[in-house]
Amino acid sequence: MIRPRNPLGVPCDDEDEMRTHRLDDATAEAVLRGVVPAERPDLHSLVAVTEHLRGLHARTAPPAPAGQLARLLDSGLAPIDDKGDQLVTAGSKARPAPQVSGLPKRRKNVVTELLAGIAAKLGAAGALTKGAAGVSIALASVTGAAAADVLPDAVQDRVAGAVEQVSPFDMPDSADARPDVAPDGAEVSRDAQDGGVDGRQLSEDARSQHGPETLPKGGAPEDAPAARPEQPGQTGLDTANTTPASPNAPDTAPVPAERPAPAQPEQVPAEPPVAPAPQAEQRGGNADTAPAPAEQGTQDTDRDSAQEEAPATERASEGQATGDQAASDGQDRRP
Amino acid sequence: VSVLGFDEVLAAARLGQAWAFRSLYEQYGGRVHGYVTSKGVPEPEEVTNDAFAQAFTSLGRFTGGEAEFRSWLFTIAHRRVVDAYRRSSTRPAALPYEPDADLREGPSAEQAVLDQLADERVRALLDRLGEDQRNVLLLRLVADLTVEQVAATLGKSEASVKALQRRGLAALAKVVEAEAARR
Repeated sequence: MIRPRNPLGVPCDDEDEMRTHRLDDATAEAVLRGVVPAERPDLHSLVAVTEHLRGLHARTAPPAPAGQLARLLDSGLAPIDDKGDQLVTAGSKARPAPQVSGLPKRRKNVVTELLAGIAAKLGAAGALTKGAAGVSIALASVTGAAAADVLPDAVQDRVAGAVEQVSPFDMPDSADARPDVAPDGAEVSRDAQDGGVDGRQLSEDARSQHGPETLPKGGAPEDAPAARPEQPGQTGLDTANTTPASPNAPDTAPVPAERPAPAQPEQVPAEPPVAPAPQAEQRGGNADTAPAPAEQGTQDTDRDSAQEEAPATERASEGQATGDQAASDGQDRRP
Repeated sequence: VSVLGFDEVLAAARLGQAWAFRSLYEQYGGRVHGYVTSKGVPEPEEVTNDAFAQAFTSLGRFTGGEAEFRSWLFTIAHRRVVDAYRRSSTRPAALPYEPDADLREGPSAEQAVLDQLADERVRALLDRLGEDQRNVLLLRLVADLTVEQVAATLGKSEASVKALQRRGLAALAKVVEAEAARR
C-alpha cells in the first residue's frame, strides 16, 4: 500500500517554491551580475543580498601576514629550479650554489619578459600618471622595489627618474656612486661639519709630505743638484767642478738670464668655504617598507587535499635567501 | 597609479620577488579572506595566510594568466578551508540566525533587510543553503569566478555548477523572502 507523503488537497511547500522561486540560467546570471530582471521584481531583495556578497571583499582587509607568509612578503622566495621546486627547502641551511652561467634558460626567459614588459610599460607611460592597464598594481610596490635598488639598472633609472620628477625623494639609480668607488660618507660628512676643506692646509700638508725637506737623503733629487737650481749658493758651475770633467769647466759661470717672476699664489680666502649640508648620511635610507615578519606560525602538516600544490610548503628557515640573487646583491651594495 | 600589468607582477613573483608577492597579496588578499571568512572556518586569518603562502611557494608550477591565477588561488584557498574543517572536525562556526531573537527594527520589512544587512546575517542566510550551493555562490560572488572557473575549482561540470547556482539562488530567494515576511 502506497502512503502519500502529503495529505490530499494540501499544497506542498516545494510545489509553491517551484512555482515562485524557480530561476532559469539567464535569470540566475542576471541576479549574479546584480541586475533585477524586469519580469522578476520579486528578486529585488535577492539581488541586494548578492550585491552585498559581491562587495564583501572591498570591506574585508587582508589579514596581517604572519608566519611563512610574512617572511615571503618581506624577503621573497629562494630561487626555483627548472622543475619548479625550491632550491632551498624548509629546515635546510643549505643555500643554492652560485650559478656559473647565470640563471637557467627558463628563468632567463622570464627575466627577459619581465624586463621587457616593465621597460615597455614605463616607456609608454612616460610618467607615473599612466592609467590602469590590465590589472592594477600599486605604485608603492614598484617604487618600493626601486627604493630598495633591487631593480635592474635600466628599470631602476626610469623608476627613479620618474619618482624624482614628481616627488622630493631621491631614488637610487645607476649613476649613483657605488660604495666600492664612492668616498666614505661619514668622512665627507665630518669634513663638511668641520667647516669644509681648507685649501691652504691641504697645500701645506702636501708640501710637508712631499717637499724637499722630507725627501730621503741620498735620493735622486739631492744627487742631481742641477735639477735643484733653487737651492741657495749652488750653481751649475759648482756642480761641474765636482765632476771628472772639471778641468774643462769654465772659470766663471755665465750670467743667467733674468728669470720671470713667479706667479703670485692664489689668494686663499681667510674663511673656509661653507660646505653644503651633508646629505650622504641621509642617502640610502630608502628602506623597503615591507611589513616586518611576524612570529612563526604553526606548522601545518595536512596536505591530503592539496595535490596540485607544491610539496615545498614547509616553513623556510629564518633569513631565507631572496629569490633573485642579483636583487640580493643589489641590496648588499646599498650604502 | 598603475604601472605594471598583472603579467609582469606574476613573472616577478615567479622569480620570488617580495614586492611582487606583496602586490598580489594586496590585490587578492581581501577577496580570499572574504571567501574564507564566508565559509565560516574557525580561524580565517590563519587559513588565508596559509593559502597565500602555499600559492607563493608553488608559483613555479603555475602557468597561465590572471584568470587562471585567480582560479588557481581560490582552488588553494578552498582546499585550505576543507583542511581547516578536517582539522576542527566541525561545521562552520557561524551561529544560526534566529529572526525572533533579533530585536532590531526597521521602517519596513524589506527595507530592514536591505538596510541591516550585515556580513554575519548574510552568512547566516547562506548557512541555510546546501554546502555545494553555498560554495558555488561564494565563488561566483565573492571570488568573482566564472562558471568554468568554479567548475574547475570544485571539480564539477559546468552544467552541475549552473544547476547549483540556480537552486542556490532560488533557495536564497526563499530565505530572504521568509526573512522579510517575518519582519
